[in-house]
Amino acid sequence: MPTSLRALKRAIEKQGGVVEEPRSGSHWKARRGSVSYPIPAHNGLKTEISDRYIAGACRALGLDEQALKDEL
Amino acid sequence: MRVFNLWVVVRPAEDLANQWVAHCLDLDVVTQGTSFGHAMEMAFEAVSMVVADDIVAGRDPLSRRAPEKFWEELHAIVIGSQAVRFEALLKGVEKEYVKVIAGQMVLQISLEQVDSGCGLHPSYTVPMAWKGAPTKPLAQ
Repeated sequence: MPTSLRALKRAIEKQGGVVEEPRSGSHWKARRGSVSYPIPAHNGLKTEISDRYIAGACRALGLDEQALKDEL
Repeated sequence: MRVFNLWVVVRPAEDLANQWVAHCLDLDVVTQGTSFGHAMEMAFEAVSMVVADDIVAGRDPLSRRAPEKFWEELHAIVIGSQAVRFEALLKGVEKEYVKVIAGQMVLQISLEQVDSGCGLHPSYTVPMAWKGAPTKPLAQ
């Protein structure tokens, strides 16, 4: 199920990640440990995020996909 | 200057209206945009961020490679699809008529600019793309 950037940001932070707003461009940045991963944010916090993106972010950040979705 | 040849698979989002999802397999980076062209621009921005961050962190960006199942899918797309010029896709591609597009993004990035922290000015080209499952010719 897709989600909003606002909800995704909250869920990543609950899983121990950090989400940074961009200084420029259309992506925010999630960090967990030393790994960073861009988050599409072309409509700000209202940006709707697809399931394919969430799966990719979880792979990159080493997050459990189901656990993250449970936080959404 | 370092050059990355990056495979990107772009498709209409299955779960969102008016969104296209782009997946760079070499870096396993996913992003999305409001059209095919916008998704490619977003992919360019996303991979540029990842490459710059990894280089600054002393990490090989290519170590992020996507799982094998995505490469198998890419192989099937290229084998079973129609080769088209990227510029033609930018002129007109409608998600109702295209299931998936694969292309190789050639990303050029200046390492010196990354090291100095002065910002980077990457650029990209897509020499060729493969368009899957069309049912209607693209607008010219």
